[in-house]
Amino acid sequence: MTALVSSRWIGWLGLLCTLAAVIAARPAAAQTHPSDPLAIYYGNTVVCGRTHSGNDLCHVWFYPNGKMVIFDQGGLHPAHYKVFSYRKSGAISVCMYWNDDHTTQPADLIEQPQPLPVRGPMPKMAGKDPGRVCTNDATGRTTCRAVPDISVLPPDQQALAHDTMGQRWQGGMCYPYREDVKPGAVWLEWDDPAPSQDGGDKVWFLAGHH
Amino acid sequence: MKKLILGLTAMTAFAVARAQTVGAENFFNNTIYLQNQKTLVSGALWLNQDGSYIVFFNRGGQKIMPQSAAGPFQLEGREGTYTTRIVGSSTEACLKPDTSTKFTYYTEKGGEVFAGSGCYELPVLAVGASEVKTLPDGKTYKFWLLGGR
Repeated sequence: MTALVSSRWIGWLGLLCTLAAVIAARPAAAQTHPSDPLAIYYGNTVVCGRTHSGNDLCHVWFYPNGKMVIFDQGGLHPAHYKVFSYRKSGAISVCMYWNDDHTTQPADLIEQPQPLPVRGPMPKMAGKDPGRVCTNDATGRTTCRAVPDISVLPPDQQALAHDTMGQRWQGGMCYPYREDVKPGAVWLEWDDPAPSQDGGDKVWFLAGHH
Repeated sequence: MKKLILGLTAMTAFAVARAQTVGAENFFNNTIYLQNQKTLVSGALWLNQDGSYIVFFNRGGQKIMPQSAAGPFQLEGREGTYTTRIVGSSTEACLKPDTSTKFTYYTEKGGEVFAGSGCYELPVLAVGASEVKTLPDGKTYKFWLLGGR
């Protein structure tokens, strides 16, 4: 009888230990992150700006159905997005894709004056063809690197380096989005894929669509 | 019975939305692009079949950089609902922007077309075509109708 009770207790103890181990092994992220990491962004506006001057470069509106609208100095772009994994910083990786067939602005639009110097294409050195190569990995991270001479790259990399801005965005550009923000917040995002602007973006998070 | 009521409700809603956007069909899957020929402010308008719209403006290079989330921003976007009305031989879109946000819309203050609340004549254009037109307020715009979005 005593042996039977003991073996029952040992069984229960084993089960309890297993449960405790399972609970302890759950990733902390699963307990702290909301089910929809972009929820705070719906109905609000993310403005991306130049790191140093703050000049306004794009506005982003996310919708809960995976669709989004991006507008920048090149026009209004219908797009869609995919949410990837959390980064070490705690921000979630979101890859954004312009819709393939979307229209651009008219070719004969009159260029607006720019009171501030705008960083143009990389200066061309004699005999060299500079460019930029952006690639996405499986975790939803885009890495862009400036290349001083495209001609020395392997053919597949050369094709990427010749991508237009539209082609690059159609292939997807991934950025980190923080959850611990409220509309009205302004921050510098240093986990930016592009090497320009010292690898940063100034971000304004606005209440409502603007 | 429930399905019948739901179906009738959906059909009625569709019919009402359709009636309210009559004359805007040419714009549903296309983009109206515009540029003020004096200020050079440019923008794009999407009129949707469900009676909603999105308008975007590029105000041009900024002299004053935004200091806070209140702006000012070079780019401005706005959304809302619209209805159409036929005035003589033209169609007007009467825009009702969402006013729940408390932003200052500089394009609205500047009187740019489609920037604020009101009825605006829609351009009569084939896809791919453009026209320069002086509006009743004296402002001259170039309008394009671009295929797709």
